[in-house]
Amino acid sequence: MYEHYSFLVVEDIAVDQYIARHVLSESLHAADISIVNNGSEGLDWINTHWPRNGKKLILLLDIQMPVMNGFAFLEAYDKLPGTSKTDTTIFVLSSTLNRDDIKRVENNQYVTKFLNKPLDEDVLKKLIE
Amino acid sequence: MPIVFVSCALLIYINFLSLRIMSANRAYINGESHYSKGQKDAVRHLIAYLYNGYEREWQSFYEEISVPLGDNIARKALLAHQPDSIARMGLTMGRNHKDDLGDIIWLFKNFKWVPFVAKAIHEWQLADTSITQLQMVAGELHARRQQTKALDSTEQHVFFERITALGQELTVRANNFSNVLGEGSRQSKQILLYANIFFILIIIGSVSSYYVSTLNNLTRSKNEIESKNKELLHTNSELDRFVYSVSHDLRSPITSLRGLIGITHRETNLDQIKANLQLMNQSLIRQDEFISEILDYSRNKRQEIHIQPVNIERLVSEVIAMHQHIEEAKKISFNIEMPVTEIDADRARLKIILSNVVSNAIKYSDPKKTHRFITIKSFDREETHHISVEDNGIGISKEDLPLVFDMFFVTNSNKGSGLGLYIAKEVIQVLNGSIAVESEIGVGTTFTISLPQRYV
Repeated sequence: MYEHYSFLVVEDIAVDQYIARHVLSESLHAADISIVNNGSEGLDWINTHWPRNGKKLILLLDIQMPVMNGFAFLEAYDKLPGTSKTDTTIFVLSSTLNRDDIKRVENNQYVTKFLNKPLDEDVLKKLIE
Repeated sequence: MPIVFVSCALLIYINFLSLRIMSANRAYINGESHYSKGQKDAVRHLIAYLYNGYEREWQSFYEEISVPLGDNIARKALLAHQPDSIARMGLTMGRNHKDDLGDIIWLFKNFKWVPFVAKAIHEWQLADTSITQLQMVAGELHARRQQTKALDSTEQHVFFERITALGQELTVRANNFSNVLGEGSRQSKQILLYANIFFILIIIGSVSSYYVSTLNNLTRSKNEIESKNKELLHTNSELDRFVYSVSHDLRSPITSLRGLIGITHRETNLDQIKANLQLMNQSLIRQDEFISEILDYSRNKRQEIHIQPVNIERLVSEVIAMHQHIEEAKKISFNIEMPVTEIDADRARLKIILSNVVSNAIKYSDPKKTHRFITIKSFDREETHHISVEDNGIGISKEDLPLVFDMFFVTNSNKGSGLGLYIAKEVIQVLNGSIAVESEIGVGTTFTISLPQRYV
């Protein structure tokens, strides 16, 4: 069903990585799932793996992470060449309740939607459609 | 400020005094004019009596001479410290106004030692001597008149000469008396003016200096308030950051838990369910640890320092036992080398510090090493107690080393919240000690806690 999609989860908490992988593989039956620990690793992944022919990238991005957080990632992402951004949709997935953070995320041109943790398969399915 | 009150009181007293002195002075000059007039009229009547022998003139002489004689009685009574009533009687005879009597007596009694007053009294006394002499001459003349109806012109002339001489002398005394008093009152006026200026200057000076010092105090308190305010703003922004991170870190394990519950719901594989439960447990442990850390942080801020002898060997054993539930701890050998076993310290705070350092040493142990160890040593150097915690864990990179004591600094969120070492540093600062770290990536890390040997 999601054979044309690649999923990249940028998340530092091991339990949340496990949950994301489980939801994507068990509920969405996605096959192409990559998981990295922070924004910096996320950039590395894009630089080496993206774009891929005929595929769309769904990026699930956490905000609070060590080394490089979600905001720093988005700033660095802005400076990437256009080809690295092709066919990419970014969802921010966070447990924050901070209004300023949420507003900042929603105002970012690359973020399609802010999602509250835990990851809800139905919401995600609807958004991808 | 007391100097202002004293000066004001003195100023009021001096002005009251000067008013009374002026008033008494005026009474004296007034009295002198009655004295002078009485004496002159007496001389006039006596001379008339000398030439016409009318008893009426002799009566008039006696009436007039009683004015200076009354003053004479008063002066003698005052000098002899006799009751005031005698002086009052004499002064009334001297035709002084009854309202002036009090002032005249008051000035005489209190200021007779003042040079100009003394001089005036002296002149008065000399005049009184002349009055007595005049009275004697008058007595002689009256006796002669009783003896013979007609005096020859030679005798008349002699009497006339004596009377006029005394009259002239009395005029001189009267002039001297008024001059001395006039000069004295001018001098007193001058002195009083200077005294007034002097005290007013003191009052103005004190009030201005008080004003200036109050202004300085206000400026100082304003500066203090401003710096306090700056401190508070800093604390406030730190608190904001703290609340921001805490709210996230407290919520994060809960959302993880909800996610796990969600996927466990749909899970039918029992082993997978058990694995999920294990992960739920981990999330809860993470949150539990975080809450303890926040409590430690707040306790450190609130609780009083309580210094007592602490057996650090026992304390370290307790701390190690506290961390035995961590899976990794079972694979690490702990060595305790404690030549110094007892130190004076705040036991609860020392436990927080050691616990955070030991917990880090366990969490960041290196699974690649076959023999993992943590060595805890105590030693004294330069009047300071030192406790070092050495491990052969994964080590800390050079870039991260200066950041390890920062609030919420983490390299891996799964191992901790980033509060532990921050709290250790905060707590040791409260104890006037310090904490230092040395590390090499891949080799290991040593934390050294230093505490003062004595607390004053």
